[in-house]
This record gives sequence, C-alpha cells and structure tokens, in this order.
Amino acid sequence: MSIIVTESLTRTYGRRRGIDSVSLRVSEGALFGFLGPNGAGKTTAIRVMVGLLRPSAGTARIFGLDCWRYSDSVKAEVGYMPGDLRLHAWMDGNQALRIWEKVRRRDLLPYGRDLAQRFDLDLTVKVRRMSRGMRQKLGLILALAHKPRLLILDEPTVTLDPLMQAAVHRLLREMAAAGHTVFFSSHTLGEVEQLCDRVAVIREGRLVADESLDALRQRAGHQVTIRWRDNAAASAEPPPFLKIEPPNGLVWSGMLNGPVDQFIAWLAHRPVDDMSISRPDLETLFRSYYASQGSGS
Amino acid sequence: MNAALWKKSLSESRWLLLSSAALMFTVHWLRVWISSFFSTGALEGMFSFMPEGIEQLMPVPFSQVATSAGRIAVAYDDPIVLLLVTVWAISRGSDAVSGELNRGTMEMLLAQPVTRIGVLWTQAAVTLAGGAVLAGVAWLGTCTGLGMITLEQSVAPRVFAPAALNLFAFTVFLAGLTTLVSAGTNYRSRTIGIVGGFYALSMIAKIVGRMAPGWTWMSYTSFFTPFEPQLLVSNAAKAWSVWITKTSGSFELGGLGYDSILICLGFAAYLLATVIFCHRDLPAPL
Repeated sequence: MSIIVTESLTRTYGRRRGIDSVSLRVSEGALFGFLGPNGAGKTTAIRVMVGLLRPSAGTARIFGLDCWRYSDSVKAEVGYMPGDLRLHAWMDGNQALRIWEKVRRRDLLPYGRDLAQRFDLDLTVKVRRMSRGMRQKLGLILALAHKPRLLILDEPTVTLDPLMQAAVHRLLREMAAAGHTVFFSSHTLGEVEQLCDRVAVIREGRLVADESLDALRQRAGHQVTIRWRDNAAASAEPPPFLKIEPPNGLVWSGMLNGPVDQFIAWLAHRPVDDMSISRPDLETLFRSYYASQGSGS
Repeated sequence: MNAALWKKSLSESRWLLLSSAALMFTVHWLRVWISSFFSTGALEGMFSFMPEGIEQLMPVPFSQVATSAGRIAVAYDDPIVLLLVTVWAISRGSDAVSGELNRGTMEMLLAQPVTRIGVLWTQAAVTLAGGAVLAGVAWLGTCTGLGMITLEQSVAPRVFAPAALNLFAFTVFLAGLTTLVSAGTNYRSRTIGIVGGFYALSMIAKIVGRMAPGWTWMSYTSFFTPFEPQLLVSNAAKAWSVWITKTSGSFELGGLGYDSILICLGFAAYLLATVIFCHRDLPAPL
C-alpha cells in the first residue's frame, strides 16, 4: 500500500519554478530517500505534502487524503521536521513537549524523555540558549515523540555531529523496521546509501530518478584518480570502461563505468604511483546521470 | 480551539498585558486624583483664554471638560491610554500571522494537527479578551479613584462605563485591521508599517474633517470618528443609545452605534483575515 502518492504535482512561485510534474509513490514501512542538490525542489515538494503550500497543479495524497484539503487529519499521523527549524525562543524542551502533547492530545512526555536521553539533550534548556544542533535534536524529538505512522524529515542531520547522525540513522532504521514509514530529504548521497532502500532524485524541479538504491549505484559508477609513474603510461589510450577528463600531466581522473575488478586487473600490470577509487558525490552523480541521459537520447 | 494554543498565546502576551493593565489603572486613578486639584470655575477661566480654533479640535465643549466628570473623561482618550491600547492591538494582531512567519515558528505550529482557523481565532480571542481587560481596568482605575478621592462635584462611576466600552470597541477594530494586514504579509515590520500609516492618515482625516469647513466628509473616512469616549461621558442621552433623533428630525449615532460600527468592522476584518490565512501559502522561514 502506498502511503504517499503524488501525481503530476506542480508548484510554481509566479514565474519561478518550484517543482514540475512530480509523480511518486512511497510504500508503507519504507525508508525513502529524497535526493537533490540545493534548490532542486525537495523542500517545496515536502511543504506541499505537509499542507503548507497549495499545489499549482496535480495532487498530493497521504493516507489517501488530499494534503491541502485534509491537512489537519493528515498531520495527526505525521511527524514533520522542517529543514530550517525554528521554535519559540521562550520554550524549553519540556514545555515544548507539554504543548505538543496538548495539541496532539497524546502522552508524549515518556517517549520524548527517552529520545532526549538517546540524543543526549537537556530538556530544561530554553530554546533561545540552544545551539543549532540542540534545536535540531529537539525538532527531531518533537517529530518522533508521538510515534507517527509517517515521518517526513527535511535534511534532518545537516547540523548534527557524526556520532549524533549515527544515532539518528539507527533510530530511523528501527522505526522503519517497526512498520513506520520514513520519508527524508538529503543532499548527501552517503547518508541515503546508508539508510534507504529506495530513492527519488529531483533536479531543477523535475523527478529524474525514482528507483532502488542498487539501480542508482549501478548508474553512479566510481570516481577514479590515477597518478602514473611515467609519461608513456600517462599518454596511453584509456580503456573503454574509463571516461577520463583531459589528462593533467601524470594524473588521470574520471569515471569508471564498469566492474571494479575489471579495472583493478587492467591496472595491475601498469606503472602506477598512486590510485584512488571512490563513490562520487551527488553533483558528480548528477553530471554522470545527465551525461548518460544525453548520450542515450 | 485547542487548550495548548490558548496557553501558548497567553504565555506570549501575558507580560505586555500585565504591564499595560497596570499602567492603564494608574493613568485612570491619577486622572481622578489630578482632577481633584482644580475647580470647575478655575478651569472655565483658564479655557476662556484659549484661541477659538482649539475648541473645535475638542470632542466636547470646554464647558463640559471643565466639569469633574469631563476632566476625568479626558483620560479615556489620553495619549498614554491610546498608546497602550494601540500597542496591544497592533502587537497582538501583527503577531497572529506575519509575526509567526517572520520568526519561522508558524511552520512547526502548523505541522501539528491544528486548523488554521484554530490558530488564528485563538490569537484573536486572547487579543480581544486582553482588550476587554484593558478597558475594564481603565474603568476600575476610575472607580477606585472616585471611591478614594473627594471631588468638587460627586460623579457616579457608571457614567464612565460607555467610555470604557468605546475604548474596547476601538481596540477590537484596530486588532481586527492589524490581523487582516498580518494575514496577507510575511513580515511583522511590514504589517506594523502599513497599520501605522493607516492610523496616522486616519487621525489626520479626523482632525481635517473637524477643523476645515467643507472637509467634514473626511471625518467619515476615519476610524477615530466613532471613538468619542469624552462625548459619551458628557452626553447621557447618547451614552447608551444606538442612535438618537434630533429635534430637527434627523438621526445621530449614539454610543452603542459608535461601538457597533467599530466592533462590526473589527469582526469583518477578522473574518476576511481568516479567509486569507486559510487560503494562503506559507513561505519557508524567512
């Protein structure tokens, strides 16, 4: 069963593009990554889902309900944390939990306090005295405390330190394992790779991919840098599975579009001084993805 | 309406309300006390030296201002009192939508299962209740003063109730207008600027309408025109009537008529603000 369904969802800001014909489905219990560079339209799509923006065209439904018309019914079962989280400065964590508890008419304090312990957050500190990371943790606690059926997080770990990021990742995995659906946006491929089983990629407001992570990995290839020991090797013709940018002296850098073992076997008998191979960052992935789209068309 | 929204709204406004109420009480009590220092005869003598045009600016003739009740009634449109209700109405009204948007806190609030109507009308209810408290405290200040201080002519406290009600109606209108502007804007400073400009223009329109022959129509464009607390104290016939019939057969609005205009316009502004807020997009934190 699909928990989130958008069909040709479009949102413009006057002449400015927001999102254009975004159609996606997120199944119940999924850990779904929504990837895209800054300004791609991730936040716009999320804000339409949460009922803060009205679609210009198309529809967005959560639990089968229209996100704009039945926004308050939808939000009863949704936990949301915005990318740029702002809370009332006069509140402390306990007050925030108590207010949210009354708003939601549910007992949030016990689980909220458990989460605070897990995220190492002192709930007696006023929001005005909290660092950005602390506010982010409090935002996560408020989004999670009512154990929502669907969790929508807009770049949830962006201001957290690596240890806390790992704690959040663990918690999200636990939630998905318990049957909750997690939809989160990120511009960090590594984070999505660690967590998700399915991803959608948005660029310039359009959905350019909606597939499993394995398929995305296949598409991504590897970024390769080779430093040759001599000019003869550096000026040789690269093999077909390596797309090398214009050579820079003894250094080759480019994309590997093939199996890693094939590349290592090819490299084994050549005069290599140094070599690195890594997953590309998101921008590189997009470039390679669009290059393949361009050549394919 | 959600109890948590009430609590939040009260938490945000309690210090402003408490300090305004304390000041409001003090101003009205002091006005009674100061009035006890002057006699009607001495004031009439002093007013006789005033240039002619000044009386035109006054809501009631000098002869009325010189009486004990008239002197105390001046407090209800004293600049400090106007400032207190204006600050209350504009600060609460501007906070309703543009203030929350400006701070970026509206997003987290509306991510909860609350309706936009609930958010706006809880704010409105707290603002209007605060307006009623301020008007009530003004009257209480006068009553306390009258109970403690002996005046030249004794005055019944109930004489000032229509003035307090008029002060409340003025607050309702101003809060409604500010909420309407707030519902359509993203910046609190912009809301305050627009309402502040309208306030100044409205005040000018009333002064010009009262001073310049042939420009009387301008006073009908001003929301200060139905705000006449001094007149409602000095004219008992007008105080509790919607309109009164003059000897010439024409009608003139009474105190309840003034209040109805301000309160109806205020509520109309609130309704329009609700429509705008329920249909508008909420931008990401600014």
